[in-house]
Amino acid sequence: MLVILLAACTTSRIDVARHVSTDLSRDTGMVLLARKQDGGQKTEEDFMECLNDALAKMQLLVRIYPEQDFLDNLFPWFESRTAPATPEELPALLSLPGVSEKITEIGVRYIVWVDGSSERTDGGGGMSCAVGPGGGGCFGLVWWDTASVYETNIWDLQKARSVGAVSADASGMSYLPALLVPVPLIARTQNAACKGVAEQLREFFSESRAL
Amino acid sequence: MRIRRTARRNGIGFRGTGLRGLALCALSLAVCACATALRVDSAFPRPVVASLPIDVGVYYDESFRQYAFEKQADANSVAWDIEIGPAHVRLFDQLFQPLFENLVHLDGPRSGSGIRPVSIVIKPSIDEYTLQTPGDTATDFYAVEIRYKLAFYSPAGEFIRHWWYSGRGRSRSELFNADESVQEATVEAMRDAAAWLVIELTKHPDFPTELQAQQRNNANIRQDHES
Repeated sequence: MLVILLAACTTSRIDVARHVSTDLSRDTGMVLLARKQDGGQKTEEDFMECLNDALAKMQLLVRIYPEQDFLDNLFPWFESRTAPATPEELPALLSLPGVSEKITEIGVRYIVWVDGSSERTDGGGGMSCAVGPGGGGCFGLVWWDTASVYETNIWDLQKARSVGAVSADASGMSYLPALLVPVPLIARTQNAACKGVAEQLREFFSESRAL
Repeated sequence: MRIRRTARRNGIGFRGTGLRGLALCALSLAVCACATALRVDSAFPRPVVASLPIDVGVYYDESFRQYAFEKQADANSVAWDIEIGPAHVRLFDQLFQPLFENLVHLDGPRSGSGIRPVSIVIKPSIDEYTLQTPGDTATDFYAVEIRYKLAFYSPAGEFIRHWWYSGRGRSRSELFNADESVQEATVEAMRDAAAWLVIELTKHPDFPTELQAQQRNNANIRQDHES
C-alpha cells in the first residue's frame, strides 16, 4: 500500500513488429546483447539485469545464454565497432572461419539486441534544508520528468534474418515534496519499460504464443 | 610586554608549527589516500580466427610491460594511478598465439647473432592513454582511449615501419565505484583496439611479405642516396 502511495504515475507504450515465427526448443539458446557505440553501451546495466531476470522467471521455450560469455566466445566479432549492424551482414559474418561452428557449439540461435536508455527530460522546483542544535528539516518541492525509450531487435542466427522487434516508451513525473522530511514519489519508468519489453519478448519465445 | 608576548607567541608558534606540520602530514596522507591506485586485471578471450601460416617474433620491452598511467588530482577528478602493462602483455599473447601459426617471444627487436627464424618481428607499445572522468565531460560516463604503436622489424632487426591504431571504451559512472568504472572502460578500450587489430591482420595475411618488400625498397632508396 505504501509502495502504491509512493509511486508516481507512469505511462508506457509498447510496440511489437513480428516478421516471422520462431522455432523453439529447450536446447535453443537466446542471448540479450546491449548495443554498444564508441566502446560503451548506452543501455544501463540494471535495465539488462531487469530484462534477464524478468525473462528468467517466465516459462520460455529457450534458455538464456549469458551476454559476457557470448561476447567472449565470439571475440572479436561482436565488439562495439565490429558487431553486425543489420541482419543482412550476418551471412558474411557466419561464413568466416570458426564463427558458425562456435555459434553451433554454444547453441545460441537468437540474438536480442537491446538499445536505449532512461533520461531525465525536464525538472523544476526547489528545496531548502537546514540543521540546527534542535534538529533539522527540509521544506520545498522538487519534480522531474523521466523518459525511458528502449528498442529490441530479434535476429535468427541460423536463418540470418530478423524475426521481429519490440520497442517500449515509458514516461513519468517524479516528485520530492518535503515538509520537514523529504518523501520521494518516484516514477519507475525504466521498470515499466523493462516489464513491457519482457512481456512482449515472451510472445516470441513461449510455446503457446509462437506463430 | 610586547617582547614577552612575542616570545610567548614564538613558543606557542614553535609548538604550533609542529602540530600544524602533523596536521599537514595527515592532510597530505588523506589527499594521497584519495588517489585511486588501480591494477587492470582482466582475462581476455581467445579470438575466433583462422591461424595465419607465418612465424612471428614478438618483443615486449620494459616500458610496455610496466606501463602505468598517472593523473594528478584536479577540480574534476581525484588522482589516478592505473597499471595496465601486465594486462597488455596478457592481451597480446592471447591475441597473437592463435593468430600466428608460430609465435616466438624475443628479448630484443634486434638480433645479436644473425637472422632469426621468423618472418617478421612485432614490438607493441602504448603511445598514449587518456582518461576522461564524468567531471571532465559533464556526462555520466568514464571514457578511456588507448593509442597503440606497433613497430615492425625484419628478422635481422632492421626497423621497417610503424602502425598506429587506437581503442575506445566507456562505462557508466557508479557511485562509490569509480575504480570499477575506470577498469571497465579500460578493458572495453583494450578489447575494442584488439578486435580491430585482429581483424586487420586477418584481412592482410601476407603482411610480412608486404613489409619485407617495403624494407627492400627502403634499402634500395638508401643505397641510391649513398651512391
